Amino acid sequence: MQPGWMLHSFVCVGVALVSFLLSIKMIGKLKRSDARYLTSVTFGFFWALFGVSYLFFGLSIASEYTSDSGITLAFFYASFASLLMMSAPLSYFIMHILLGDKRISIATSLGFAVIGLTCIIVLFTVGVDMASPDFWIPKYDLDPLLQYLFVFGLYVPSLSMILGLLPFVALRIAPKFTKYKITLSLIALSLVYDFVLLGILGISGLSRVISSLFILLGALLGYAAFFPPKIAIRVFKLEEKEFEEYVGYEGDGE
Amino acid sequence: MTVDVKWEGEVAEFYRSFGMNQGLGDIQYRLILKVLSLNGVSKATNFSDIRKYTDEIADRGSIASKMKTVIQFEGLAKKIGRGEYVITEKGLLAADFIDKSSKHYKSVKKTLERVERIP
Repeated sequence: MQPGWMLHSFVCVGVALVSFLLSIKMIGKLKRSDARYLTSVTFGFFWALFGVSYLFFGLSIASEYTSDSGITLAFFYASFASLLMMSAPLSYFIMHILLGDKRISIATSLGFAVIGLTCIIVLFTVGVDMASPDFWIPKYDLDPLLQYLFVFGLYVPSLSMILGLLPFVALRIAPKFTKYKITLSLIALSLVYDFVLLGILGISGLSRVISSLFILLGALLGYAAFFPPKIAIRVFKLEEKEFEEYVGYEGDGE
Repeated sequence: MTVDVKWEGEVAEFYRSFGMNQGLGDIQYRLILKVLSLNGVSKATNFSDIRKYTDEIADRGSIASKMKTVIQFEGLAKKIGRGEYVITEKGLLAADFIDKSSKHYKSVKKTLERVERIP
């Protein structure tokens, strides 16, 4: 039992709250009749699963703080299981934007769901060991097989898909707000995936708390990407200027 | 290889919307050069081969006129016999430019569709 655990668990709950807020707003953003509805909803599901994962992770740390190791492990399993499934909705979101083919997007999403479920089966088969808790986190040791499955089955393919959105940033014909959305989403998703990976690979100590803070930053940027604060609108000049057509003769005003 | 009249019409419409009524935005010009380029500089193309594609969008007279006033006049193709034409090197350059304009349209269309799919 360490005082740093409680602080870390607050950071995790913060990540969960931001993710849930973004998820709810993404799901309710568009009407069902809108062609982009499913894309928006799947992105919302991604953040919802991520939020669930971090909520349970925060709860697992908090329950470890109160020395209830049985429930701690249950929370940890729930946290890791939802983390393993989050790539499925994300793959639909990215593939649908890139290819526009629902069948391919659904197939990719199902592929990630199968990999996620396999990882969950492995998780429950091999289990998780509690090892050397430090000041900031009750450390969990994941089986190397699970780590490999996560890295090569989920992390690398997901990151490759995320990078598929990169050319949008340089597009000249895309509206400024679209570029802003994609750029911030890319940064947010990269932060989330990269620091989650570090956690799974087993970093501990203060670095783990800092990595959770970066994940919180990622979730905040994800929110700001689709629901920009006023300051971002002003700084990045996201509001398109509407010019009224001049109806006078060319010689007027000379 | 064949020429897709519907696709060429779509591409021409795109460039016409930019005010390019001649050249890239002219479906007749596009189709004539595309058909002529299929045979290259060493093989003659019959006028009837061109009309196989252009009959859907224009009458015989307009195509004959376009051949004479634009394609032959600018040296993009030579008349080498009754109803027989062969594309020139310059004509091949123009045909190549038309192919590139199709690719450009395809890429712009794809990009705009992707942008529209972002929620």
